[in-house]
Amino acid sequence: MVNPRLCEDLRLLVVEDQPHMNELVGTVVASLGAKAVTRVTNGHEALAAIAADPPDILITDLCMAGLDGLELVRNIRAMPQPARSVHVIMVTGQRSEESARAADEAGVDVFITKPIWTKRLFSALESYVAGW
Amino acid sequence: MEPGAPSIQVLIVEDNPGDAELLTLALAESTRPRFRVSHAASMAAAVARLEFGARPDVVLLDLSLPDVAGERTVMRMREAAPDLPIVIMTGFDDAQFAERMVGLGAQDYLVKGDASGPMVARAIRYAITRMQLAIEREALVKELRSSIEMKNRMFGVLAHDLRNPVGVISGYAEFVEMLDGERLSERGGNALKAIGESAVFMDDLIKDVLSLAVAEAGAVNLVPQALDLGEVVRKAVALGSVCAERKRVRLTCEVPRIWVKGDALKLEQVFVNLIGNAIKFSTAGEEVTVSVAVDGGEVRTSVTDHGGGIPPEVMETLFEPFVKGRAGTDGEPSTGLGLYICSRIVAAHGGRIEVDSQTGRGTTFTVVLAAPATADAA
Repeated sequence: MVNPRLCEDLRLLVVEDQPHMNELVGTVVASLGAKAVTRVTNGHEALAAIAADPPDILITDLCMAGLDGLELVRNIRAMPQPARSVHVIMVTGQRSEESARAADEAGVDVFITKPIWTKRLFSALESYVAGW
Repeated sequence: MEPGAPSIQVLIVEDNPGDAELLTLALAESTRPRFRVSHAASMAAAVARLEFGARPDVVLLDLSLPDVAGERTVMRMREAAPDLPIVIMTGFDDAQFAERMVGLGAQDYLVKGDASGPMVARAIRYAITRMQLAIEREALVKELRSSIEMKNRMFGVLAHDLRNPVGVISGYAEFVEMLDGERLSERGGNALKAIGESAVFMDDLIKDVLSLAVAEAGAVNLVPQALDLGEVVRKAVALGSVCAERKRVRLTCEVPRIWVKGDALKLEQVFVNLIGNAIKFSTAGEEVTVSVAVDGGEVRTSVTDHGGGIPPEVMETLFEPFVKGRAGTDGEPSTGLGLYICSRIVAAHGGRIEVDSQTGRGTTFTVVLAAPATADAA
């Protein structure tokens, strides 16, 4: 049911300040064949990475020290093309309506909440590849 | 003079020399405690004394001084010496007036001419004790408030920090099950399932503890506004419908547009919880209904299930926190906090939750809120 070559041609950027979570997100996308994966641990590094070489998809946490996920996305949406239209998937433990609304307003494309999230990350990537 | 006898410093603020003299004489009669009296004939003189280091234990305050009169006298004295007990000397016996002065910060009052030496002495001693108690109480309340605030902040930080590792645990469990689930032994598969389910339950628990901290912080956190209760209920029903479908429980809702004043997100949380419970205690084929009715000055939103009902022994502690929750009909776990949080939120809205449960027939939870005085329902 899982296509091990789904993300083969995608360039991904993962921003997550918790080391285990960062590694797990990396493992999940690797299982889908992703080869071009950059993993950073804070919003500022993410901005620098996007400015240097915009990926297809950004997978980011919401709560991070320094520049948080929402600020990061607002910054990205104010960048010139093609960086501006990076597809943003946010994975967070913040399961409130408020967080979902704030993410939507900031320009997040897909909002996924823990604890059940890996399947939804799979489907979000599938949808992207399918061009939905 | 008896050596070692306790002595109380009294400042008399009185512009009438005769009245001041009478008071001084009255106080001189007392030897236990012994009063040491000083005198100021105006507010300015009294304030100057305090500024130059006088530390009286109590002030006897006349309310018609040459430089200030009436309520302002008490306020001025309070400003000049916030912790100094005040006994007001007034010419007329008016309980309401006295109450008002006490409200402004005086500890007691005496009617001039009616007060004997022992009465004045007693009023002074009580005023000093009351002031001490008030100061202690204020310090205690302050300490308690800050410790509650700290606890709530700690809850919040802890809950947030706990969610990260729980997300990693549930994430790995899900991921490994999805990719390697078929290759695992039965034992390994069961273990993985238990890890995943426990992590999800732990996340629920953390979420509830977090809302508890928010609910405990009190009504101050409500963001009340005029809202359509029907819309709030429909949202909660939509959120519950996924769960209902999974258990093949029919979830129906018929709610008109009804305006109430409240916090939309918090009320939604209440209905999500009540609907979730109703589904939890229903079995396939049963129906859960949600309805709203206006009855007199009240808006009553009911969530009804046709499950087994709540056992009487559970009923007693239904809304208490940390009482072990009951598992649902499919073994769904309970954190034991949901209804407590609901009751706190509804109480903060000035409302209440009613429960009607019959063994074998089902349960109805009703959230009762006040209908707005000017109903502009469309």
